Amino acid sequence: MSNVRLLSSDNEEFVVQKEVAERSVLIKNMLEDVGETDSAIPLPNVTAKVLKKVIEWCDHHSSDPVTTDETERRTTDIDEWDQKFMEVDQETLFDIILAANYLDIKPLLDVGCKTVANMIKGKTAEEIRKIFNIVNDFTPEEEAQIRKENEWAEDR
Amino acid sequence: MTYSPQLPNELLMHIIEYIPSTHLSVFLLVSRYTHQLVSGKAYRKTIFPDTLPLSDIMNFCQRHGSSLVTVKLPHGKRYSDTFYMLLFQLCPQLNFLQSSMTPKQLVRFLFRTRYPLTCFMMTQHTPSSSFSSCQQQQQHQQQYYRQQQHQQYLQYGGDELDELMQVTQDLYNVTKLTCCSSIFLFPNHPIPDSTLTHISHYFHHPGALRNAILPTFGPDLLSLTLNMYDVLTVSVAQMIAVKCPQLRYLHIPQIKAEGLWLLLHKCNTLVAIVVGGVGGGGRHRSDDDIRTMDAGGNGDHNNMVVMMGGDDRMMEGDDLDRHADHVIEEDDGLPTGNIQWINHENKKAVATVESHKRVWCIHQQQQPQQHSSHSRRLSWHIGILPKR
Repeated sequence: MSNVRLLSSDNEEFVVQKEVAERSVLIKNMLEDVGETDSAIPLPNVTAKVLKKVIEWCDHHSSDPVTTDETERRTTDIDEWDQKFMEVDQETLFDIILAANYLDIKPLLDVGCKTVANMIKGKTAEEIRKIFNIVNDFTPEEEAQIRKENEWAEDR
Repeated sequence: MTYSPQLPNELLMHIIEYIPSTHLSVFLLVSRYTHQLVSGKAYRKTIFPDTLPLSDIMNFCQRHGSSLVTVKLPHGKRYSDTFYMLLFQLCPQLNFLQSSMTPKQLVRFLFRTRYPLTCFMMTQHTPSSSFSSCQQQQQHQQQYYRQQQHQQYLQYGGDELDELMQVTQDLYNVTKLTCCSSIFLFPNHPIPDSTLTHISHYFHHPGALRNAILPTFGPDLLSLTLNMYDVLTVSVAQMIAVKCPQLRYLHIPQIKAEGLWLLLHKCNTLVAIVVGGVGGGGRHRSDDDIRTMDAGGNGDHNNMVVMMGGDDRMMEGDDLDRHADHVIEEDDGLPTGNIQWINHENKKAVATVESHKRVWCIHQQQQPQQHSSHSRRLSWHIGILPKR
């Protein structure tokens, strides 16, 4: 089985099986375009730390059938291995999501997004803003109006 | 502080898609972008305050209407037919509406909207609770309100109600609460895949409610009348809350305060409880003050189920009438002392929920035609704000 070489943004090289690397649609397309080559594929948006994690995930899931059914992918629960895999700090978790999005690995992106969704369930608006670095762009009047409306709809 | 990369909006949207609708409302407050993402998905229910202007209601429904299932409009406010048409266009999933619509308006509305599968609670002007009646001033006030309601009853309880029932023949069940001229109307048959939507009475057998009626029909029930032997204890209330996830109207002849509290805590869809009177299987199929009937006036045989003996046999029609005689005897035999005791216990239990946050009214029903004040079964209508 042939190997491919991947180069992280901080110039660390990883040698992985082609089958594992091709879990990424981006890498698969690049390999098809370039053909047989010895040169490393540069991945300027992914650091070595994150690429290592992504490769670990791709390796574990290399024999998974590719699910094209969007609904099935969305509704499937996170399996135990993935739950463990995602037990990382928030910065790394967001980096994995960004890398999965860039490398076009939809199942990994789904697992990451589901993990974050579970993480923010039950958090306040202020806590969510902090987690996502979101600026509160409401005027005080707008915010007051939303809070007022929320009272009409909240559980009593 | 730890560095946390900012996710692009596209990924934020992806994450929000995985959050269940029950947890979405917080995103309305995070930022304008997330507000716009979850508008129309975040709210299932809204209880509009009584003082809210029409424009605020419309603005709210324009933004959030597409996910609204339960709406309670301000008490005693009259809105035009056009308003109701627009409301249903903005809230296409609406399955419960509480409003002060008149029966005539509802007739026109149902005709224009081709008889939707929606429950309607039509409330007229509402006095304060009967339990504050120790103060004379409030008694006078209540008397005044009752006179007003009597006028409304004459107005809505006669021709308008008859017309409503004629028009909704075979499609809806109509229950009228004369204490406040409220009318509860709900679909009779047409909810897809449902068995039946209401049980107006059943015959007594130990375990019938627990082992047969609730497990079999509970999931589809919108209205249920317990018989006089099934007391609302904690375990009965717990079972109703679990087995009847759609229940809107419940009539219970005899209650315990703990059971009532549990219902208010767990039965999220309930909008009215009638306590006391004679329940299903009692002497009066419908109390003097609680008129329960099928639209069309064919009696309420269509949807009622009767369980007898250990074999849980279902009976309808003639069978049912024969057994009804038996029940009449049972009820007549109840000593006055027992009735007084039941009234007293019910009154005590109802009083405990007077200031419950879900309770918006408690009215004692008037039953003037019954023999003496000692043998009279008292009943109360408890108006409830739905949680779902």
